[in-house]
Amino acid sequence: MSFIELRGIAKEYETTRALSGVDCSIENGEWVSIMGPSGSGKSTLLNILGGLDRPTAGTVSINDADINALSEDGLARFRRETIGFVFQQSHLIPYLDATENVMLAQYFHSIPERTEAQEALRRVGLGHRLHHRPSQLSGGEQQRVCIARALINDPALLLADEPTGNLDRTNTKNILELLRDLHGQKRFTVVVVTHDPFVSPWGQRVISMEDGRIVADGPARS
Amino acid sequence: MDRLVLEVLAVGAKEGLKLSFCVFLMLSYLEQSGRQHLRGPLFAGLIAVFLASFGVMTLPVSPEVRDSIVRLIGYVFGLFFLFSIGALFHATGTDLLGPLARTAQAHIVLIPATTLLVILYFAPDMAGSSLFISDVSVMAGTGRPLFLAAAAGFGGAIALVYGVSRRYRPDLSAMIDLPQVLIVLALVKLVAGGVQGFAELSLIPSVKAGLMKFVHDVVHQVFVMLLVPDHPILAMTTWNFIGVLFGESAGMWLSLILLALPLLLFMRKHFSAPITVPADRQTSARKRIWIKAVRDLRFQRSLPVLVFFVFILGLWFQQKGESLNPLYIPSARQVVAEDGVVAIPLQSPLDDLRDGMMHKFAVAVEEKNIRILILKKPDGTLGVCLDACEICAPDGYGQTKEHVVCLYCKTPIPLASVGSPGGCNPIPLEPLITDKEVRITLEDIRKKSLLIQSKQVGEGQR
Repeated sequence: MSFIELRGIAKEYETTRALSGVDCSIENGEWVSIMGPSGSGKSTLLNILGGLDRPTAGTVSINDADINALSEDGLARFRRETIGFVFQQSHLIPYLDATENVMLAQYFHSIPERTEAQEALRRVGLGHRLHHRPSQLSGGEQQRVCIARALINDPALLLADEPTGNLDRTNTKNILELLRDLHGQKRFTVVVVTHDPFVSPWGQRVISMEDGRIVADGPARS
Repeated sequence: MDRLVLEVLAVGAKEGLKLSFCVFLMLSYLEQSGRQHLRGPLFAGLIAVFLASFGVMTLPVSPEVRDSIVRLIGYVFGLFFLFSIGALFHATGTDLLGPLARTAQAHIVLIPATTLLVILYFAPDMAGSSLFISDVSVMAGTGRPLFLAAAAGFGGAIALVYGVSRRYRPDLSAMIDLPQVLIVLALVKLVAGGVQGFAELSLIPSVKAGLMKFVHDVVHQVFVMLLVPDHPILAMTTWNFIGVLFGESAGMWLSLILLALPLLLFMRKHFSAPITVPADRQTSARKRIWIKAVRDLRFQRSLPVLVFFVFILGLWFQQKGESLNPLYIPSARQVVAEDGVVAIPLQSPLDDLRDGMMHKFAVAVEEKNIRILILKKPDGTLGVCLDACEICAPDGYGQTKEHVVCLYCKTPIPLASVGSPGGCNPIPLEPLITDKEVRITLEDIRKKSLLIQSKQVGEGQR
């Protein structure tokens, strides 16, 4: 069984059908990009994968766990122990410094550990920005803090929704290189949602979506 | 009548709640610890408790047995408190049983011990409440409605706890282990022991009185052994501060230390014990999860101890000023000697010397005011003494139910000893007691007053 198994996933919002009959398997350690125009259902699919939303129909299995069957508490525990999130907006707490922002993720996961948080920031190249607040960091640096925060609890799955959407080309490249390095070291599974053709080839596989359906699924072409 | 019915209904409900909650707790622990085989002995103990309660309701009970039942409630609290403290420290790795640990786990010990502890825990309360209901029914002149009300309260409370536990099935597994069960049982005994609960138990005054007596006896014996009272210098210096050591404040603070310090020490040991992470937890995130889980469990298991600690503190603040045996200290009435003799009538509008209470008089001897105490002893004779002993500063004596107590060093002296010479006894006089009065010569008072340690005779007059 694959690391992620999606079977017959459908999602309806009152009169709108966001996903219809999505079937997909992702192997452990794979980096998959999900491409598609706005409204194609890719973010909805990512939210369902991350346990942030529940499908109207179908089953989602991650690491042999049927996450639809989990209670709210069980799902929350599964999320904090298995999944890391990176969003387009950094969602950093403005009055906490970079280290404390990373420690916050540790706190909700288990216990905060300052040294470990600072080590994670050094790994993403922010050793000189440990005590800077988000407003004192550039967009690229903020996104690096987000990556450190997402990976601090050693997740098996990293979900990224337009992680470079707010960055210029140089910073986008830097962030993707960083992600590729970290992915190479830890071999966690990565699912990146993007509409940027520059981003999708960085993974090993690209899934294209339109109108809530998968229309193409194949290896990435650089 | 309606008020009495409500009162016994409440007493019955309280006993039912207490019994069902404690039994639920015990059964949960037995199930969780895989000791279901002890359920039989537990219920056997409960049957014995019911029989004993029925017995005290139907059979005549002497006042001594009644007193013993009330005292037993306090002793059982003390016993479970000590057990829980021992078990708490045992759980943190302090081996208190040594080679006896294996014996304590043997079926042949556990089975009778379970029955015995159940009887010991529940019998005094159930018997006490049964006696109360029985007394109330005698007072009311009709027993049936009162017994029915008590039974309704008792049964209703049990049904309520049973219903709630069946419906909600609380998962206590994280919170309960043997030490926690014991300390909750001690807490229940403290809060709801006896007919009126903790107000009846007077924990702090009892502990304070016990500690004061213990400290007094030990220090006194040691000093007597070392001949301190007879030493010309040591006797004076020692007895200048011994009043502080034997006083109420020392007992008050010692009671707090005795009850609260073991709990604080346990907390310190419990929370500071190192956490060993299993080797299979290799990533730091997984190690953190383990550490968090251990810390959470420690916190949950310390909750009953914390609640107990807070309750003890509250009780201490509430009861610290109370005394188990309040002292009766009469003021000294001035009397005048005529022809070198002080004559005090046995009965006058002001005093009845044979009423069993302490009476004090003051008489001027060579420009000093010397106090005399007169007290009817248990054998019916009068004890006539100076209101001072040969050892302490002459603060005099007060009276409790069974003792006279030195106001300086708090030594309790049995009433029968009043009038005997030596030690802590009040210095006896040699009166002439007629059928109308007590006659004491000034010469006798003057001579005996020379035995008083301090030369400031009369300054401590009350």
